[in-house]
Amino acid sequence: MNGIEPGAVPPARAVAPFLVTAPLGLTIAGIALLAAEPRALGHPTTPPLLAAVHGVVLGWMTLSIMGATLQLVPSVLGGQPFHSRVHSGAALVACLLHSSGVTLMVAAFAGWRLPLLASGATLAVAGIVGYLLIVARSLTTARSRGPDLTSLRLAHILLGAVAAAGLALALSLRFGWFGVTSGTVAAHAHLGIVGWLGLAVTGVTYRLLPMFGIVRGMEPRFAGVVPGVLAAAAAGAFLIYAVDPPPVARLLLETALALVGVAWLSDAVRLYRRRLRRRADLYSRATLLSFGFLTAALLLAPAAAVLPADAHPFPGPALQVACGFLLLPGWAGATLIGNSYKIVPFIAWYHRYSGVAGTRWTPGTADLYSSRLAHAVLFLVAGGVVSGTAAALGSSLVALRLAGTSFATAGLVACGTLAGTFLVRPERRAARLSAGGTAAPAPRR
Amino acid sequence: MMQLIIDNRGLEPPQPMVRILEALAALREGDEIVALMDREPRLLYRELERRGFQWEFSDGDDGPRVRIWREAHP
Repeated sequence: MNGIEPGAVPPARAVAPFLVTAPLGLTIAGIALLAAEPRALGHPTTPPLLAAVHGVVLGWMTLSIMGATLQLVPSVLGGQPFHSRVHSGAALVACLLHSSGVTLMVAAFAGWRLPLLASGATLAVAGIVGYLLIVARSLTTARSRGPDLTSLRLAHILLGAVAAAGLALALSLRFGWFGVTSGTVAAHAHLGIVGWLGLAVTGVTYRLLPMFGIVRGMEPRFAGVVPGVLAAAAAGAFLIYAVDPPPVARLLLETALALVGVAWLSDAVRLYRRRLRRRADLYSRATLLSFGFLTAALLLAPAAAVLPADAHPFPGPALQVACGFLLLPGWAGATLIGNSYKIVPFIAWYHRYSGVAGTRWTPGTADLYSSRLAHAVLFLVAGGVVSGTAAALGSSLVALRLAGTSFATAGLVACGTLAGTFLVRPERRAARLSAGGTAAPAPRR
Repeated sequence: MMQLIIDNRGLEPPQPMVRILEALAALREGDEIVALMDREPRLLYRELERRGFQWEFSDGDDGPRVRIWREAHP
């Protein structure tokens, strides 16, 4: 039967913990912003902003991408899955190590406690190494030739690199191995945000946007070059920023990165416009919001790289912070929310109902969560991004705290609604209606 | 021999899987289902195998489709 592995589905207990606990990273990032002092907005490397960035990128986004990769590579891209209890147990341990490490790191950054930072970074990196060992088999055996798999493979190589670089920075801060400068921090940030997060999100979008929106007969123009160029740009940025380059080098680098972003965005917008499923829903709204936030970030990025700290009306560091809000919880966050409410309810449905589907009534995936609450998550995050950007540009602590409140709340609601997809029992309501003489409701789509 | 054609194109998961699994009950030996799909239904295969059905997937000019029939008794 075409050599397909019939059991190409990892166990829910291995995947769900990553996807369900991931939004708590957004919550702890929000709490870090809530506790920020007035000087927090002066530079992207102030302790509260470092705490928030690590909560968002390493907590929320990395855990989500890890869970999605464990699920999608075997079931969509044809990679060999893992079945054994040992592998599932190892995935759970990796998830626990990573999430506890990230929590310690966020607390350590927020209070600038270097021994705690070293411990948290060590735990988080141990979790990442464990995850990479588990996912390596699926990634190396997958059969897709598209940009999605190329991006994911490159992104995972760079995840290993950025984790090693981050651990070296954390241990250097603790033990004084080498001087940690704004250049080395920027190098690490570019490797993580462009090399890991950017590559993973752009690559997966090339697969998921046509899949969720149903796009037929359209080849994206830049799909063949974006993964390689983005990976090379991330590695180049790491090397260049590590030596504290002059403004002209930063301008060239950020303009080049912005052009890659424009190329990808033009592909994504064309795919979106050619979709056959045109219903306005959470996914379409999240996708549109993500496009808007990325456009704004791409427009700001070159100026943010070169303007000095005393520039008027917007100093360079303030623009960098604004770019961070637009790019991370904005572009990547909105994309992640749209994808999460497609992927997680389907995983829950598959593990709970596929065995009886066709023999009795089963709910649809939309019956497993509240669409209103999912929309609330999206709009809370979008509101937080707007508020955070305004806080950066206007040096407003009130706006920053508003962003923190929005993120903290959104993370809790997202965690609750995603966990609920594995717990709610719509079939009980259907059975009650049936017993009362009313026909079972049609599954919501 | 009966051939049942199910057009699953444009449907959101898990509806394509549910429609195919619902149709299996009516399938007798020698009958087959041809399901028109938007993509390969990898996650369906475990259920087909568990319920004693065989399948063949193809992705030609007319789009992805999966042919399903009951396993022959030995």
